[in-house]
Amino acid sequence: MHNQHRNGTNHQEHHFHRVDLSPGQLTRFVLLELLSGGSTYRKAVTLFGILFLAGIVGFIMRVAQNGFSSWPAWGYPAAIVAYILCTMQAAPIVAFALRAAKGHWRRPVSRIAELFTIVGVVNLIFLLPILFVLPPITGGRLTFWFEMNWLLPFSPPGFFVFFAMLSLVICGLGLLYLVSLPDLAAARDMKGGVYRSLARGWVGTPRQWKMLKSGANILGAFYLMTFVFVSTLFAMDLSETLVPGWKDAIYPAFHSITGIQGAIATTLVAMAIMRSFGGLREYLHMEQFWALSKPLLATSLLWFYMWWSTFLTYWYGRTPAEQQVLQLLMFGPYFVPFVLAFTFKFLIPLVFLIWNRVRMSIMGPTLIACSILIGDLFEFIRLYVGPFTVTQYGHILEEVPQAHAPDIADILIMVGAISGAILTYLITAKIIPVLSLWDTKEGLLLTRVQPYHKTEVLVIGKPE
Amino acid sequence: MQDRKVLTDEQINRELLWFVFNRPTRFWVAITIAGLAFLAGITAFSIMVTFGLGVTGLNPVVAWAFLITNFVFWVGISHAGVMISAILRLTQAEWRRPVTRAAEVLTVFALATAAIFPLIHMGRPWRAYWIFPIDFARGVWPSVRSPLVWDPSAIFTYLTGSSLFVYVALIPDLAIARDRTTGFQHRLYSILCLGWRGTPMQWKMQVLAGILLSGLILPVFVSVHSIVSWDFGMSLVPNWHTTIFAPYFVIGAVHSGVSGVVTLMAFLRIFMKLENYITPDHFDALGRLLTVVATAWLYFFLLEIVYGFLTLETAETAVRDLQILKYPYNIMFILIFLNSYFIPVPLWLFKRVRRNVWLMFVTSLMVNVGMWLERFIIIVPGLLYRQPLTFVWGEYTPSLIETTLVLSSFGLVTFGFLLFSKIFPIIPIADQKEGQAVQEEIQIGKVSVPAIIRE
Amino acid sequence: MAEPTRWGMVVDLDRCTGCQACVAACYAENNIPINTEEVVIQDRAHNWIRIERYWEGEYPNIKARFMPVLCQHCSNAPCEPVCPVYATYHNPEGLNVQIYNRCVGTRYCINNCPYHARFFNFWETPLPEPMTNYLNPDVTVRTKGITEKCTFCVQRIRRGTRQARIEGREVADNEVQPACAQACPTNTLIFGNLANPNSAAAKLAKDDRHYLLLEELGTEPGVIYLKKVDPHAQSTPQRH
Repeated sequence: MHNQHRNGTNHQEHHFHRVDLSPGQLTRFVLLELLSGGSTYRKAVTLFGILFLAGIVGFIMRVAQNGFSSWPAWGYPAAIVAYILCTMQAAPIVAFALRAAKGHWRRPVSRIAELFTIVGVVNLIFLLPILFVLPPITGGRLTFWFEMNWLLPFSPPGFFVFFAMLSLVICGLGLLYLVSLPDLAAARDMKGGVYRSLARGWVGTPRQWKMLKSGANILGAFYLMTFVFVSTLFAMDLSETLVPGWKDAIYPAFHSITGIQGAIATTLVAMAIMRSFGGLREYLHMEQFWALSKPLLATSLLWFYMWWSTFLTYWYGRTPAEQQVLQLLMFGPYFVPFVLAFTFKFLIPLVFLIWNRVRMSIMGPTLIACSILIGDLFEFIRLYVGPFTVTQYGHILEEVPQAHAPDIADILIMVGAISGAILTYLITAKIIPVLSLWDTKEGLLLTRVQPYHKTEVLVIGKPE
Repeated sequence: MQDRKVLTDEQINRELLWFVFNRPTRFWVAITIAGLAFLAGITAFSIMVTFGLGVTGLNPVVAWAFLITNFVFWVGISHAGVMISAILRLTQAEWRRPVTRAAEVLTVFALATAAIFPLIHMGRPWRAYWIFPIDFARGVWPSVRSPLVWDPSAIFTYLTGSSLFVYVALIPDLAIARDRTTGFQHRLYSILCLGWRGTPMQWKMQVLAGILLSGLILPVFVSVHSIVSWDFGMSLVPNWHTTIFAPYFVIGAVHSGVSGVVTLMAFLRIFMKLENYITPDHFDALGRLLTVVATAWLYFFLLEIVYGFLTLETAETAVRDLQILKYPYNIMFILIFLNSYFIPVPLWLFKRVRRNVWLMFVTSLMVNVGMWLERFIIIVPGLLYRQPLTFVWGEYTPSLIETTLVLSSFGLVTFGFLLFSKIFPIIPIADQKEGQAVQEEIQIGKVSVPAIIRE
Repeated sequence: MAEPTRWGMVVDLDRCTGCQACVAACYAENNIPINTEEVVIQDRAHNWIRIERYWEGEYPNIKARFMPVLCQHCSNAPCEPVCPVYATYHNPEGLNVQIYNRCVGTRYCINNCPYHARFFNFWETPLPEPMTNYLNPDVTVRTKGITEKCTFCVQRIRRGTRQARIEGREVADNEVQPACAQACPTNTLIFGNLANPNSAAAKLAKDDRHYLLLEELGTEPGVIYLKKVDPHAQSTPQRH
């Protein structure tokens, strides 16, 4: 089924692999093998299902203990919603960016990333209790928005955060539907059933293909812009404005870069899992991991750059309000999460990803991606739990509150939320296949391996 | 990839070296005008040194204005080179080939021009060497804590890196020029091309050097404009003391720089008759890149303004009020919005506009007018209404000397660029030939699809 | 000097009449170039100490509020870290010192001073003969391109401490006075060693009325202001 490189040369390794399947074989593989679940799949679904139920139990415990009136208790749930936003929900950005940059190696990666839009649906639900809990803007809390109590039970800014997140989810679902439409049509033609209603109308005319491609680009661009907007609102309204005297203009951009770094990391980890357990061993090769490791390093450096920008400005300015913020977020009660986040999100990626040998492997980028995802957890804990425990208003944070450790309800909520997100992904992966059938077929059509002097080269058609 | 041309090696050599070996009148006219502008700048500077900075419009309230705006502007333009060369080289974008050297040369001259401005606007420029760690037995080193010491370090690192970058890529082309000249020119090119013969080992080292420099210069590129922005960010002036300046300035620099490259490419295509090499495809690609960059810039611009108002501090609110609502800054503010985003970007969404060289030239110039004003509007209003001590709020009017110096900087950059393109080929010959070599076509059914060879 | 020294000043706004004697005295003492009409129009007048005047209230109840502002000699001075050549630094006696012959004129310190206490020599302003006779020989005459500001009359501080050392004693309170404090007819400006708890300045600095100018910036100034008490003032003053 798979064509290893012939021994044409002795110097170079070929960095390309060509899938030597006929379109029919490919279709059967994607639609039959990928869409049926084996025992590993069933075990995974059971495990994440149980953990998700435990999360619901934790949520009920939290509501019973604290209700919705005291926001300091809800720091960890808020952190985990932001975590899911900036890791899993951000992953489709990778698919869009790769499609816009027209990297030929991206084809097996796209669908894996795009499927993460479905996680937005559950994250939106997870967001709702947080919005109920936020302190009101009457009372002195800063916000960019205005009062609108008559419209919804929760006032701004929760109102706008909700609608922004809703737009992100709808855009994501639209994007997912559009890019998987040809595959759903293929499934309709082969299997029927639920696919007949899902894939209405797709025939595959040139005009439909053109609409699909431009639609995917436009929706992808909107997804990126909406994600940055949601990230901005999370940063401003769920984190920064809770702390008096915290005026950090780069924080929304910092939050967004954390999201993009998390997006690439999530995609890499998902790729590794799909390769080992999802049946995509023949499609995901070192080339994809190698190519994604570079933006991973770049976004890690960008994360450090944005953090450094905040730190340097505050440290140099020496104004009392800024010193208090530095204490709260970095050097005071949340020093340990800060150091862990810094190490996992910047030091480890920097130290390892500058080596070509680490980048040109499969385990290398995957392990670094795992490190980043672990670091992200600590990062969002320090960025959300700290501000949530602040109950003062004014122009300066007079007293830095003590560190707030997670209790059992918090831990159950965190584990449950992540499991719920993963569970949603797994279930959707059996309706929409994780390998994009039409994208891979197009890749087959446009790639050739040709002899060139004494070696072989990959020739890639660029019809645009 | 619609404008693929098949060109022979000999044709490429001949056409790209034409401007170097011939002396068209238009070149002499252009370089004379640029030279005169430069001379006007030297005159203005001499007046400044003789009589003191009183000849400018500066005062103790607004101690930095036009000249520093110009400095930041040219550092911004200088980011074009790395953006286009390093990043496009590392992502293997094919359309970069004719653009790289022009962008890099623009970087070098823009950066050199930029570096002049903080020097000439010091009170005692003849003592400028005290900012560098050269101790002439005085026992006092520069203060590393000052952003004004980080500045020259960053700028000179970038200048060195960019110059090396230009030079390394230039070596094979110098060899071609060497083989086609005699006499003095031949000797000059022989020395400069370091004995290039084109052996596989030399090619390998040259490519490796290019990749290493591309990778190494990327952090420099980000840090240079960040450090320049921290000249402002580290102070306590209300709208300067914000954490967003570093990426905001960098993205503004990329926006400004890539627009500068578009202006330059249009100029080269028309002035040097390089239609075979600079095609509408390139403007199309640059236009798409610019749309993305401009949108990112708009995000940072809006974020900066939102945060200006967020905490409702008296000092900053007064500055923002001046910046956005009061004459003449309100007009500049509107112009910035229109020129840097809301007129060019909707136009650039259309392929027909992107492929039209004149429209791209005009829109890119608009962007840079807007970006110059943006730097001005960041720097001056904050100084005018610095703190709630309203008794000392001031005013600023630029003087003729400052305006002359600003305009002459454009002359200096043009002069340097024209001089360079007279001595060295401005479009990389070797790169063009490589581009020809990796061009391919594949048959899919009845259609012949253009393709690229990848290793 | 064995005892700790932190030179500072207390400005009692209750006493200031806005007479500007301090401004004139500072000019004479510190060889400040003459502020001609042209220079004032250009907004470049050198006022090492200035009297800020704010109008309060509506006619016929207008009040003028005077506030002398000078270099605050901040412990946490924003002007100090930004100088690339160490032309301004904080000396162990608590003064923010300006070294004229080291200054290269980048003017970053001028931009960073929130009190607008620093001035730049935009022109070369030689005094015509015979006015050079009034120059104070203890103070440098600055050339163009150099930043300058209030030094708490460091030449007088040096003279006083030198005299005290010669005589083998500590500097007495009120022995050293900058020109502005000396000239003030109403004792608005009280100069002294804030680190010495027995000095007049240190005692006044703990007064109930004391506050710091632009305190939220955290500059820790060495100049402490005492609020004016006006029993007839409006409850919410509007400043023009």
